[in-house]
Amino acid sequence: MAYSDKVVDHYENPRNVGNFGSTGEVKGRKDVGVGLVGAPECGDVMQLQIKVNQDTGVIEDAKFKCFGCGSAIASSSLATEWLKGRTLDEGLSIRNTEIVEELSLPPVKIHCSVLAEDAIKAAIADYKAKNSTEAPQTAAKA
Amino acid sequence: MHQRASLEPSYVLKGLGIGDDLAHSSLRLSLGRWTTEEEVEFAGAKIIEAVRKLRSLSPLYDMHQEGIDITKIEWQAH
Repeated sequence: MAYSDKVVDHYENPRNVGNFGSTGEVKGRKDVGVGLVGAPECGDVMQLQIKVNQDTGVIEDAKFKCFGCGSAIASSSLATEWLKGRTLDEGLSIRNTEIVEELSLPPVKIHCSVLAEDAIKAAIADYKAKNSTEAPQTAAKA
Repeated sequence: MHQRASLEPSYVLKGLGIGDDLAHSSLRLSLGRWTTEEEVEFAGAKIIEAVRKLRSLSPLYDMHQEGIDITKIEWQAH
């Protein structure tokens, strides 16, 4: 089994690595949604953070960190590229099958794309929960 | 980048009582009769470089640096 050229490219030059602050800092930021999915015992953990324009609902920036194989790193790197400039709803429409196709992932690595889709959904859900009017949160201002 | 036929961690490490998270972060190295010291140095340098890179990408390493106990997080197994 060999990694596709696109997976190797994302692994060699991962896009948008990072975060918008430490775990504690981003918790208090209402313009940032965080998705943390996977489990260390399974060998894959992805963290995806989105920075949303609160007036337009457009994802202005996205960052990732990933513990996992090359395909997991490539899937989450690709997810950040695809999220930038999309609205939340457009972000939610990203399917793992599109990631599989783009990166030519073999069957044994499909779970990496599933995890990336889960991370996208989790980050958007976190943003929405932080900005829900039904459950107002006291924003932690530094 | 671990890349093996099976995605399961080593049964030997599991048999030794190593947790799945550590077993997933393992690397097996074998030396042959004709392995040279130069080759060992070369491999060592490559591995150090790779580990540094993977740590810079890892959310778990960030948490470790922030003093967060990752065993206390409720992970969803997949």
